[in-house]
Amino acid sequence: MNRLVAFLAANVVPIMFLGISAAGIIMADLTLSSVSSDVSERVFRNLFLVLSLIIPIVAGLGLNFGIVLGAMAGQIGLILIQNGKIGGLEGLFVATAGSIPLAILFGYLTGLLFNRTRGREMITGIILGFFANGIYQFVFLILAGPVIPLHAEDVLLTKRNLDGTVSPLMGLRVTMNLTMIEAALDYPLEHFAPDGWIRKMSASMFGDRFAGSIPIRFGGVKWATIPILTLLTNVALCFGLTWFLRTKLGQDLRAVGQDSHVAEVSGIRVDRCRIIAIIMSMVLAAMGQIIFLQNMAVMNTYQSHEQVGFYAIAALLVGGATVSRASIWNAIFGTILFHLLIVVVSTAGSRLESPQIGEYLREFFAYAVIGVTLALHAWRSKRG
Amino acid sequence: MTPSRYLAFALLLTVTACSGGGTGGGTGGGGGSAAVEIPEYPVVVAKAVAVGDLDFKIGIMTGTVSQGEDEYRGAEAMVRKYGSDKIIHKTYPDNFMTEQETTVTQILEMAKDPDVKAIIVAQAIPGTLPAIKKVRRERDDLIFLCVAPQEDPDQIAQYADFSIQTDDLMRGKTIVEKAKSMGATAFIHYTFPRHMAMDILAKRRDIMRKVCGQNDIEFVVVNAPDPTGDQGIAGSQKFVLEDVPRQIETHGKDTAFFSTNCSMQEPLIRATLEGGGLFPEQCCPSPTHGYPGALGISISEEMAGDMGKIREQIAKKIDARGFRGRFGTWETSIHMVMIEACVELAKGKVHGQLELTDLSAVKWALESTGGVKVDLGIFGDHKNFLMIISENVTL
Amino acid sequence: MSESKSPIVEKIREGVIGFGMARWIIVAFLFIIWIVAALWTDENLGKMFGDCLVRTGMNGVLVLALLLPVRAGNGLNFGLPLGIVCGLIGGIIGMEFAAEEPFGIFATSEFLSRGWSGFIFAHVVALPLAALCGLALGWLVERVRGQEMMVGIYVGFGAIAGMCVIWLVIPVKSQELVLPIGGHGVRQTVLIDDYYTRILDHWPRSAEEGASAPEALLHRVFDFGTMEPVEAGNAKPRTRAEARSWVPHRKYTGFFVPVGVLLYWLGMCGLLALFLRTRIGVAMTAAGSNPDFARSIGIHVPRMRIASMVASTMLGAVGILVYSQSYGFYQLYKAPLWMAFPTVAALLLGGASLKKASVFHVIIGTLLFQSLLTTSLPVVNTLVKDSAYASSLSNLPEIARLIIQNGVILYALSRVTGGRK
Repeated sequence: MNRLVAFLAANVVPIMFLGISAAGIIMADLTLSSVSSDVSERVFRNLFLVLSLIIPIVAGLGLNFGIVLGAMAGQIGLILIQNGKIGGLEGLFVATAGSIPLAILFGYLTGLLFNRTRGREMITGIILGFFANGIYQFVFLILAGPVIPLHAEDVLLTKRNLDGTVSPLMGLRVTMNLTMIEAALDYPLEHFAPDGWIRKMSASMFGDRFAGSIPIRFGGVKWATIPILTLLTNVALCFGLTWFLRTKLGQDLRAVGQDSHVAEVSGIRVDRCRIIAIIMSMVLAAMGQIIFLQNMAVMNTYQSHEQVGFYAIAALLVGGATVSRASIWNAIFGTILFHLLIVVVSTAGSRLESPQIGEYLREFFAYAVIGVTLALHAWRSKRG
Repeated sequence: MTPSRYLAFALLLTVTACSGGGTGGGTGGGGGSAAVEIPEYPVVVAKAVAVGDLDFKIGIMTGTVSQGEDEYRGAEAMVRKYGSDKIIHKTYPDNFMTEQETTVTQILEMAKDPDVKAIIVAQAIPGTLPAIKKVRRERDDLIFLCVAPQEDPDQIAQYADFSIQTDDLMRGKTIVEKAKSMGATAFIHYTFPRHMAMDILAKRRDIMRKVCGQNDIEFVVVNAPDPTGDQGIAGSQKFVLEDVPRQIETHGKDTAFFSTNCSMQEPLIRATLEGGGLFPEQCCPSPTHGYPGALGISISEEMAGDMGKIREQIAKKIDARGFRGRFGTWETSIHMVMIEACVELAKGKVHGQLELTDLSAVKWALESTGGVKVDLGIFGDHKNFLMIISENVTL
Repeated sequence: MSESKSPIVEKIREGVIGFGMARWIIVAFLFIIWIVAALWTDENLGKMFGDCLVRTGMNGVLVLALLLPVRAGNGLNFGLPLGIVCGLIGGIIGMEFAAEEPFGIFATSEFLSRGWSGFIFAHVVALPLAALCGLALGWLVERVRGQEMMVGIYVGFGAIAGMCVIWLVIPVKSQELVLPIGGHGVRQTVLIDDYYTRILDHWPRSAEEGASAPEALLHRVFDFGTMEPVEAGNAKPRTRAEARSWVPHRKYTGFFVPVGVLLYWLGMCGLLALFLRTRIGVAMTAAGSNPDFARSIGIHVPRMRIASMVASTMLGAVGILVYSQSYGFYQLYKAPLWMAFPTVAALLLGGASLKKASVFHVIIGTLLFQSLLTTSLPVVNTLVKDSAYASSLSNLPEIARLIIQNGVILYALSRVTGGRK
């Protein structure tokens, strides 16, 4: 009995949101298969970004709202391949390779800043995201074109002249269609030539319709679609993180997170560890954003990154993570639960009331998730 | 159209005030490319089609009322007409530019239901295209109808089955012709540099100038303060209120007024009515745009959504001032009509009764549902991307 | 040499240094913009200065709302949207009283909805509500010590998103409030033209506008010959309602002072400055700057902190009413979502930090930040108007605002070395 109470108390956040989701499903009479396939799609799109938040928490930096900068690095990588017209898996690879140095640089600078703002890393991260957005807009709206030599017609804003020719202007297009890398990780086979040996080989092994994802059917309806490469990437990251946290460096980060004073005394270079944690988070976030956008296949050049931190963090918190404690299972479970909640609340809201109320409720819940979890954590750590 | 400074940036680059959708960020610009080219429409005769009953489901996605009421109410009306078991109504987020994932999920969710055979997206904001592509991966029997697309027109024409939007370039011609028929001798065009930096609005101004020249109407461009500028909306409204009497003094009572910006419509109508000028059409033509606010028309519960009654009220107020016949607008909110027509078209298409590229069938659908007269043109060389002009009624 | 310096020079020297580097940079930047505007554009500088004053007065109370939480040790109150929402509720409820049957149960009251009485009634509704919300916010913030600002941000966001639902279902009857097609729910932007637009900005009125003798005299004092009197067509009241309404169509052609709004704001600043010298005010500051000491001399620290949040939320409600009367609109739904951030930036730009803030910081910060915003946009727009890149370049002021606003907040966050090392 006591163990049950302890379990409930420790997992009050996930239980609460699971309850809300269940109530929503029952009240609005939603079809489970449709909910599950919605949720699974969103989970594969977002999980990598959520996982990128774990290391800073372990290292005691709290929720890294600064992953917005990592996402920007990822987008810059995508802008590069869009400009250079490199598509398919190769394009994804080049974009990732291009974004990693940037993510490391951003991570280093963010780390320096976080070391100056100890105890306020989260709010600093939020504001830093806005600030970096200003710089990003300056670079890609004003400098791109005249200063930064991007040239592709579907990257830059253009103007149709009187004589019918098209001339490039200043700044990048507001939305970019990432057709060349569309679902390159989810449906990689689509990006190979139809009569190439890879397609032929896969067709002979898995059939013609197989393009890299497996639909899970059950009782005649589709419950989910599993994109194999995306799944493997996420699994690899989970194992990678587990392994990393057991290495010497990982243990150091853990020590810093538990008590930076003790860590300092025992000879760990605390500041350096914190910077490393942020750098790793940024690199993972850059990759996460690339995974997210290859699935979406469209990029809002100036706004796609804005909400990244916000949703990833809400997801992690719903999974039972706190500002100072997070595990891979929190991330996985949280991503599933959060997106379940979002799907259920907005659908249930529109079934029960008018559709727009569902829309506002969805937003309200997303904010409330973070607010409530932060409040609960601060409250608890104050009492404990 | 939110006058918030924060949004100014987003607006500037995307939907921007009154261009009524337009062509997304990119080449901008409608059909024409060379100098001032006045658009031409083919002659189309409406042809009735027996589209049958709604024996499947249709999904409609619109914005919330804080984004724009017309489409939301249009979809609501469809739910009332066919029942919520036949029409699934969803909304996209207010900040759809950052939350494309939500837009995509909402569309995908409607597509999950095998009974849903058609999806109408009004307005087809950024995020529609990836959603259509995703749906196509699973189902190719689903029909997508886009109202006022804001995505890249070439792409949307390629992926959606049917797109329709108000033809802002053509309106350059029709508005001036309307003014002429009201007896205008001068035409005042209020705008500001930010709007004129937009290809489509600048082109329309040039068309207006040319048509004015052909009709012996004096064309005057007046620069008003930008509503997103330092003086805010109030400043630009104030300017309009003060400038209209001045213009009437210089150019006489038979002066037609037009403004490119939504927030200027109310003061413009008010001042024109006060001074006795002509007002052929608003920036976004609909009886509910500008008139109710400017004339203080109370919209009672039973009147809500009934465009005929609203028009009647407006005409009564204008008549009271003795200026009957000097004001105009489109008969109804064209976006609402488009949604209803799209439902008809979807029925016909699913039952194999019509082709969505058949202009005479589309014309019939729009005219029979909205009770309005429309003219249709084709956007560039995309046969499934139509441009529409509705008849202007004199109030 | 130094001993020969006169005390006045020394005082000035201290003042210049005390004013701070950041502020001198902004001032220099402003001067550059003004010089550019004077030389290369045909902007009317006098009018531009007048606009700066209007914008300062318009935003001033909101910035002032942040003062007490900083002093009481709650940091920057990012939960300001909560107060803003309360103010908007007050405003909308007040305006509803102009309808035939307000909320379907009350009787029409021009008195409660229009003119000075209407503006005050909006306060009367908003303030108790804001006090309650502030109490709740203060209670919450007190329980999440160390994360006040984070929780504040999300309380603010949540309040706005939650209110979106309320705006949709609130049963307003007024034709000017209700959504025009659907016939229920409140509009996204509500025009307050005939209610109390610019009621503070345009005080004192001239005699032609129907002002009493003392008010008209004041008007003459502050009329720099730049206000065109109201045109005859506009001033003639047609109905009783219009007679009570405020006539906003006054035109400025040069420098002007929005006396009323500045007076209202500076008056509040003065009152707050006085309050800070009272026993409670001193106790509040002590609770923020040295809580252990404060506790030892018998100050109830949590109570002080909660009180500061109540005051802040109430001032936030007043702030949005002042803002809206100047703007001419109530902006509902998502419009106030980001309002806390520029407000916080203004306070910090004035020289405040996370732990220290004074009325002086509020005044200087608002003036500098708003002047910067007000002047840079039109000047840049005129400068780039003819460039082929105009559509991109006209975003520069907005980008600059993003960078300056958040840069200032970041700077403040990094300045205090917090926590253990």
